This record gives sequence, C-alpha cells and structure tokens, in this order.
Amino acid sequence: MNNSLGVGYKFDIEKCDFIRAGQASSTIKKLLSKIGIDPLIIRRAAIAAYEAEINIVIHSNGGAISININPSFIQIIAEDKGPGIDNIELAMQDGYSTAPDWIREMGFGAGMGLSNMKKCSDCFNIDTEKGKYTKVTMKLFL
Amino acid sequence: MENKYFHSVILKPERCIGCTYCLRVCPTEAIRLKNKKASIIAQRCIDCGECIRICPNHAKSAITDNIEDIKGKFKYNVALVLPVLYGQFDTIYSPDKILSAIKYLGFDDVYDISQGAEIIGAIAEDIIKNHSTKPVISSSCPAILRLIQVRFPELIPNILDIETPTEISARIIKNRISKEKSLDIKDIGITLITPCTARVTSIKNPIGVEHSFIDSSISIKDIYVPILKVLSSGNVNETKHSMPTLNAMPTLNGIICNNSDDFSMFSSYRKSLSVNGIHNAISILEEIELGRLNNLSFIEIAACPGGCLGGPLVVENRYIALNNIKNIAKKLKNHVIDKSNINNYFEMYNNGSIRLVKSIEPRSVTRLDLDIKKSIKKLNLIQNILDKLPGINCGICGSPTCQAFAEDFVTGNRSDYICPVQEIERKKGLKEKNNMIVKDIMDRLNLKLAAGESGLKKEVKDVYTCDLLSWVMAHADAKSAWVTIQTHVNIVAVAVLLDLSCIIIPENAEISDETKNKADDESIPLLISDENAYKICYELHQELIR
Repeated sequence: MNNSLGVGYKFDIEKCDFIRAGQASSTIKKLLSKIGIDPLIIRRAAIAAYEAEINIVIHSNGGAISININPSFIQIIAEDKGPGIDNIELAMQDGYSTAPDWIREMGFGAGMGLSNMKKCSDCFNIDTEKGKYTKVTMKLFL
Repeated sequence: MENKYFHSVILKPERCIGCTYCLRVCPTEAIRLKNKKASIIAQRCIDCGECIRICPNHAKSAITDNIEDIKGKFKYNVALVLPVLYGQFDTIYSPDKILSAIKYLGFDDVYDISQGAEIIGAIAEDIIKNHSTKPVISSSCPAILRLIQVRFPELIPNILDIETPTEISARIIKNRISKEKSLDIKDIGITLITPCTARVTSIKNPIGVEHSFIDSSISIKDIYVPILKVLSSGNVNETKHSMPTLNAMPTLNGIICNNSDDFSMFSSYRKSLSVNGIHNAISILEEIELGRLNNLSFIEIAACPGGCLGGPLVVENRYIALNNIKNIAKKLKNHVIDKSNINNYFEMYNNGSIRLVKSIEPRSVTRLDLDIKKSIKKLNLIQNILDKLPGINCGICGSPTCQAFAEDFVTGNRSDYICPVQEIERKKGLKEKNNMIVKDIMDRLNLKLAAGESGLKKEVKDVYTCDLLSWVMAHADAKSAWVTIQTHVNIVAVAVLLDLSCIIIPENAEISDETKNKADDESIPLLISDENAYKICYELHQELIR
C-alpha cells in the first residue's frame, strides 16, 4: 500500500481476540510518533483506532484496520465481515450498545465506541450492509 | 533534544562482552552494540537502571560520589536516607541505629525523607481531586517521569504537580539548618543515600524544578558495608533524630510510597492503582493513553520491580527487604497524619515551593525527521528494509530489534547494512549454488586423473563406497563419487547406468587400458589416490559438508 506521498499499513483483526486487541492501535501510535505528528493528534488517532479495533473484535467475524499517513492527513479505515449495523443513528448514540453481558463484564461494550471514534476524527463515515460488512472511514487532518 | 544530558548510568567497556542482554531490556531502545561493546544513546536513556540490573558482567554501573570527596566540599554535610535503606539490614538494627551509623561515618547530620512524605500525604488527596486530567500519575519516580517524556509525551499533563518526598525533605532540611546554624545554604551539602540511578540523574537534571536541593549521592551498594561495620562494632548509640522520622505508620507508608503495593501511600484511596516494574509501567501507560483508565483517579507507578526496594543500587533481595520493613512497621504506633500543619503545607504548595514549577518538556527521540514528508519517506524505506529482515530480533547486529536496525540504518545511526542472520543464510545459499564438481574433488584430494577427462565438470552431490557391483547398483545415488578397489571395465558401465559422477580408485591400484578407454568414451573420470578408501571417504566427507 505504499505510495510516493504517504505510507500505509494494514493490521488484521480477529474475532473475539481480546488478548491482542490494542496491538494495532499501539503500533499505529508508535508509527505516528516516529513521523513526528503532534502528540494530541496521535492520541486521537490511537483512541479512534483502538475503538475500531475493539468493535471488530466484539461485533464482527474478523476484519482489518488500515492506516494511511500522508503529509496533510491520516486516514484510518476499519473494515469487517460481520452483521453490519441495523440503525446507524441509534448506534451513534452515547450508551447505546448491542454488546452482550459477558463483553460488558470485561469492561467493553459501554456503547461509547462509535461516538468516541467520531469525536476523535475530523471526517467520519460509516458504510454498512446488514449481514455483510461494516466499513468505518476516519480522517484526521494534520 | 538535550545534547549535554548528564546520565548516571555508565558502561565499563573493559567488562562488556557484547552479550546483548541489556539491548533487550532497555525500555527506550537506548543501547546499541558498537564494535561488540554496548554503548548508550544519551538522548534516549532514562536512567532507569534496567541494564545495570541485568548485566551479568557488571559492565553497567552508576556514577555516584564517595564520602571523602563530599566531606571536603561543604561546611555542613547531611545524609538523606530513603526508608528502603532500613530494609537492607537485619531488623535487630533499628532505623534510628542505622541513621546513627551513617552519621558516625562522617556526616554532621542525617535524616530520612519522611517529612516530605508526610506533607504529600496530607495534601495529595485534595490536589488529585482538583487535577483536571485523570488519572493523575504520581511524580515520585524520576525514571517514570523520563519514560513519559520520551515515550508518552501526551501524558505529561497527567503528572501530579508535587515534588518528590526526597526533594521536599531536602529543601526543608537545608532551609532549617541554614536558619538554626546560621549557615549559608551553599555551605550545606545534602547527600542522598540512593537505591537507584534515576535519582542520581535528578540531582543534575531535575524534572519539573530549576535545580535540586540535593548535592551528591552515594549508592546503597557502596555505603552498605561501611554501615554494617559500624553497626556490628557497637560503636554507635541509638539516638533519636530531630526530624519526625519513623514514629508512625502513615509516615512509614508515605516514605515507602511507590515502593510496593503493601506500602502504597495511596492504597487507601478508592479508584487508585499501584504499578511497578518498567515493562508493566509501559503497558499501563499505554492503557492510559488509549483512555481505558479514565475512571481511575490516581496511579502510582514505579520503574523498579517491587518499587524502590527493587532499585538497581540496593543490596538485599527485595522480598527480604520488604519483610524487614514490614517487621519494622509492626513495632510502630498506629498514627494518623498530623493535619495541624496542613494549612502551612497548602501554603507551600500554593506559593510554588513544593510544586513542579518548571514545565516538563517532551523528549521525542523516536522522530525520524523534522520534516513530516521526509519522515514518511523514511518510514516507507524502513518498511522495505524490514520486509527483507528475518524479524527474529536477535540483537546480534547491535540494534535491539530488526525494526531498530532498519531505523538506525535509515536515520544514519548505523553505517553498515549487515544482518548477521541474513549473512548466514546467504552463505548457506552460496554453498548450495556452488556445488562441487569432479575437478574440485580431484584438486582438493590431490588425485591423479587416469581417464575420462571430459567428465571433470560433472556435479558431485554425495559419496558412495562399496566393491560389490550388484550392491552398488541397488544402493548408490546418482551424482555420487564412487570409491571402489574394483578396476575392471564393468565399473564404468555401472557408473554410466547410475549416473555416478566419477570413480575413485584407492591405493594406486592398477587400471587396465580397456577400462580407461571405456571411461574416456563414456566421460566417466577415473581418479587414482595414494590413500586407502577410508581416508578418501573421510576427506570427501569433509569437503562436502564444509
């Protein structure tokens, strides 16, 4: 995924892999600090990527997070195979969650994921098809 | 980036054998091997002392002072002790006795850091409550503060805005002695008896304050034996010390704060967490960064395993030391923090005398280039290099990981591009490509060519020896050099049928012209040796496995 303007990475995320959840966002954070991005933007990007990662782990049948960094913006795309989102408007509401109890017991699934992702990014878009996939595209301007 | 950054962690090159242990444990990847010796990248080092702890050859060490030098420098010398020291000795030696022994070694006075701890204990809860960025991270471990500067600059606003108990104590002691003895502050020297390197560094490079009130340091390791000698000689009397020292449990809690879970000053707070060990610290800081611990109000983090009791410059095993401290604690009265002076403490906080008044700056050392475009290009290049590296992070090349190797190369921090593992693979590949031919064997074993010159370029992959032709027919592999004492013409036919590379005749056995002619016709080299079959096979084996 390399091109002359930017640099891209892709991280595969497995369903229910809570042990490794967070690795992609942690790597993304390291990459961004190597490039010399403002620490506050790094923090937003890391949180956005982390929430996306956790969503894939909890809700999907596996997917991937890809990041493309170029001199004017960072683009994070979280794409999964999974149930899709029934009602995006509802899903975006703080506290609305479809996560089962056992996931809540692990401290996840508080219903803040999508809204947190939106809060952290400058452009935010969800593309989803019920029973097929969800694709979240986030952009953070530098 | 600070160029003239002072570090207390140093390396003794004559002791370093280039074993790579320290490369792997360094939390900021600050160590490289150069010419088979470890060297520390100053901008990256946070003086945590992990390398000192792990080095099996004692090549890593700390810059500290010695008592004689210190005595000459100041009119009035004070030793300042962390309670970690008490745990280093058998509990038959009370804290007061240990303090007296230190005084006996040549100090005018000796204190522990309990007053500073008491002050923090009294005001911290309120300060934490009003701190806007949660969770608040304790400021007591300088190695952790430096780790945050280097690897977690986003978390700088989370740091508790109060000086360490050590600094606060030193400031109070100096000011008080100056008043009581009518001495100039400059004439009073405070020497920290230190369990760690991070605090030594803070004397010259304090974090969050302009300058430290501590002037020099002696490691617990260095002063342990002198103290023990004094204690066991019975030369000292137990005297009560002038500062409120170990007369109360909460104070003890305070002074061992960030030492271990058992003695955390803040463990009674709800929503607080105590973490120790540098690698645990990194994982917890990562969690904080991802916003996963926003429901906590306070986190105490110590770089050393088990807190300061596990410092790189202590003597006693930290579990034993902890047990000693627990036993000391049992003998003390239960006591509540004295809040009668709390207004004074808040006054000190508000007028800035016990706060981190100087802003803590990020020390971003991982940045590839000041220009973002160039950084991105470099990152691409690093990725290309990394794709070709084995990814086993062995450290033999001198960089701690394959990633660090690629980064070092791209940022110009290493001039060579030699991965030792790749080299081994490359040489293996060469051997496989450059297979032996009959001519090589003839030259190396000094064989005479009797016939079949046109077959000298045949490949040799194996060796076979046997004199029973039917057995050979059944078992020899193609492209083998065949060693046999048989010389009659049928050997050539067997060699042709099995696609053998050559026939080697031992002990100069005579070969008929008929055999030679046939060998010429069929391009089967016939080679003659002075040696017997055993020696020929031995030498061939050596040649082929090399």
